[in-house]
Amino acid sequence: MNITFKIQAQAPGNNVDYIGQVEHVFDLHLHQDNWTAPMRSARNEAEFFFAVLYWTYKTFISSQDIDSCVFYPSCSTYMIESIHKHGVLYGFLDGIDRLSRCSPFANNHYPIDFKHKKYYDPVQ
Amino acid sequence: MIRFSKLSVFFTGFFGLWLQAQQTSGDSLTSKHDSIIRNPSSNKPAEKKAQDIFNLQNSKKFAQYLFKTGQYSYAAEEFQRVIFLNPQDNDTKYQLVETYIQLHNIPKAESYFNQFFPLFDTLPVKFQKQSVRLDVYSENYEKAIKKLTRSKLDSIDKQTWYLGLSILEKRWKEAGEYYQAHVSNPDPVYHQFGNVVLRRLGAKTKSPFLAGTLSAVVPGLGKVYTENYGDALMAFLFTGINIWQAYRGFSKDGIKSVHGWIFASLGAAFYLGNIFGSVKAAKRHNQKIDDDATQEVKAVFDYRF
Repeated sequence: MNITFKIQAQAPGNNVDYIGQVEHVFDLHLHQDNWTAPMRSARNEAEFFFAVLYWTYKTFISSQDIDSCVFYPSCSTYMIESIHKHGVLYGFLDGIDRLSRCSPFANNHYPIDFKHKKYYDPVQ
Repeated sequence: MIRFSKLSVFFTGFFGLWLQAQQTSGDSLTSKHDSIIRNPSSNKPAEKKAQDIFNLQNSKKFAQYLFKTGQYSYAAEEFQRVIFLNPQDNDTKYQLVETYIQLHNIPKAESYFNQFFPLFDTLPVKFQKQSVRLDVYSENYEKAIKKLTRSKLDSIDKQTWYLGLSILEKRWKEAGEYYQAHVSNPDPVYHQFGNVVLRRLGAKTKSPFLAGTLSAVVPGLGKVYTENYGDALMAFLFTGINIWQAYRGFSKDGIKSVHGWIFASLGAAFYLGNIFGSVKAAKRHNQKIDDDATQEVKAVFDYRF
């Protein structure tokens, strides 16, 4: 189910309709991803612990918030993917670094993912 | 009763005559049709239309038309049919491999190439070039260089290709020396590659060690060094605020301060994450310089060779 809030706005003095431009601003933070997948693919207890944290964050916190991450994939998904790919210590530090890079100043260094309208920064 | 039987004989006889007439006319049609098939050189208009559009020549023309118009998946099927009809047709085999290259299905192109032309050394130059290109597309540059040294390409082409492959292998120093050694090569592509090498050798790379050290001294300084100024500011704020909060907690409640320990953990995580990130940013900066150089060479391999 995809729920969207739409805003109807008109600039004063003209009849230009801005619906299309602001349609997705308040999209609910609904993902198609399977948040339990990292728990099932965890290779050790530490990875499983982070996978549980990820699921908890996605289910109870992130889902209640707007989609504010400037990157695709989002910082939490990036961290859990990095942990799975490179191990717990490397992945954790990589995720923390990504979290500090996630700001309005992140520009010119990343390609743009036009589908998600975000900077594209996958785990490498 | 007698009258009825006489009538039936009459009608049966009439029906028999009619049937015989039909059969005769049918025979004549069949024989006429046979004569058309058996005598293709006769000049009747109906016979001119009789042509085999699926013969080898027409199939090949059609496959080439599909290839030229960019309908590669259909062209591949048609080329395969042509090869089935004439297994000796090496040009069509070349085109089938080329079709799979256009479809970006390099494993399949390689598989067909190896199946069609297992002996590299005995191949004509055109096919050897295709083999080297396939190795370039699958990023097997080492293998491509080995094949190139064994190939029958003329010396000018060989030098150009070798320089290109050295760039793709990121052997910058060796490529620079090679370019200077064969600078008399008249091929403009060779000099284009040479410029790429010189530009790369003149580019300023960043030291990952220095970036990490700077971030260890002042959080964010490593990112200033790697020219990520926004990231530097955020890293400094994230680390600084957390450490300051930890300091406040510890100075208020001492070593048992929960507030202090939470923010100290967060501060330490951001501090270490920032050192890690600065090293990564320096590596990424260098990677981007390399990628910009190799991208140009890859484009030449895609569109010129």
